[in-house]
Amino acid sequence: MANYALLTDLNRCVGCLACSVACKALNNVPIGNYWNKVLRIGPNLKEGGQFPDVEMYFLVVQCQHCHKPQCVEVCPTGASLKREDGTVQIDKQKCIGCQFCVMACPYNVRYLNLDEKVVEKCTLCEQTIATGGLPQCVSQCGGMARFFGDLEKGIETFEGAENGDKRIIFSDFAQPYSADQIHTLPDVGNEPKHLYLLRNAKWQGGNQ
Amino acid sequence: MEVMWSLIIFTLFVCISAGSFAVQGIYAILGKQAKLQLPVLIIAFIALVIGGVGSFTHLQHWERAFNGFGHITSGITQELIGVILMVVAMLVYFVSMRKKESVPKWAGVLAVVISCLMIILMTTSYMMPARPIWNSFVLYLFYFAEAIVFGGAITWIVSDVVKTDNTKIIASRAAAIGATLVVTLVLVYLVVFSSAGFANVGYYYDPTQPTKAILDVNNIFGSVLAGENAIYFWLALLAGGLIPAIFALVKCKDGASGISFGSIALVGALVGGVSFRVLLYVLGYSAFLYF
Repeated sequence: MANYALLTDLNRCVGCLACSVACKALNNVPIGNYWNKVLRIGPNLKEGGQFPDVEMYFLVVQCQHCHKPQCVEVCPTGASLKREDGTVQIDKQKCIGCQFCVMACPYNVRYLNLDEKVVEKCTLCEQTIATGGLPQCVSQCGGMARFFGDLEKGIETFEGAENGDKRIIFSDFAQPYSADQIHTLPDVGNEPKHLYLLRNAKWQGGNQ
Repeated sequence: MEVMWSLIIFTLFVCISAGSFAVQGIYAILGKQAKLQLPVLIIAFIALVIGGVGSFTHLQHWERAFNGFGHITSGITQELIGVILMVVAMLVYFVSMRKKESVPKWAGVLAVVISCLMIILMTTSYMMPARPIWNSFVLYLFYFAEAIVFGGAITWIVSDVVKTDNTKIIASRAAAIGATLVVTLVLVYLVVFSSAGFANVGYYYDPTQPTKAILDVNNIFGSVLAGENAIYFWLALLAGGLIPAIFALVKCKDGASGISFGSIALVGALVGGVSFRVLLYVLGYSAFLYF
């Protein structure tokens, strides 16, 4: 049983927005809706520092495919569901567009598709990963900062974009890091799954 | 977040319905039988229907509503069960009212219990850790207090219309107690506004909204008291609580005209109720509010 997730090496992300654009193009995300976004966090003062001693990083935010997704819990029809591969998906045929899942998401990453009148979000490119491919935001990452894999097998096995003719492996490619440098978005009981690696800077927002 | 008027109508009218029904239940328990029971029961039923229809209008695909509907952990499913139970309780109450000259006490207890249950179910569906402003026990108390104001004010007005003077004092006292609680709870909600646990990332920039100002999570309290959201807060406090409280407190001793004073309390409670709900939506940011 897989448990797919993303890991982003924030020290490699250059904020090029290639992941956002690639996601838009592949998934035909409507204008005004976003299945992922690259936020610039900062510039914030370094701990104990004085201006202009600042730091910043780029943070890719999207559905976190949580361990305990609140969106699934509040869905009245079972349209929002957790698949066996650990991803959270939406069955559009069942969605009634009540938007309670939108309200229940602590990251606000769900959108109402006004044409189809159903809620949408990042699918982790389900159609691609089911056939062994990488999510588009990973395969198109210009900074080679994003990695996709199965948490059951450990983050060392996570794979990134192709470098030449084969995918990079996180354990081979990443600069040294420690466990306390791996973060998640704030947790309000949903247990977000995606991981963010940030070295030599303060993680903002906390792990609530 | 965007103001969802359908859900505002739902929560407002459920409070009206539950409050009216519960106050009738209290009359039945106290043995105060009067001509007002049937008209107020009809008002409670109509309010429930308006609330239910209002809730239905926010569904984008209402035709799929019963296609697999019923995921029990969902607040919407629980609300639907609550509405059905309340309709059944109203029917039972109606039948018991028609069978005997007086409504039996058990029916009164049933009305109070079901009304409380409906408010609990409705509020629970908005208890989301993802929305720190909503996720407070104070919201339960607020909706209960508001239901008491609505129930008291409506019964006060109907007492005047059907000319049952002996029921006015209890009704206006209920409105006074409820409105005083509303004032207190709106003020208590200031603590919720100021202590809500939003993630704070300091300075940030969202390239998809380049001209949007940075959201200052530390200034929510200020925006409520004297900023862009102050109008909703002060309307909720003054129109929704203080004005009904003053009119009901001053007039509850002498059984004053419900059509005059009860109407003022009811209109105030409606305006305040809508304002408070709009405030909840305007400040209904997600815990991580930067996406």
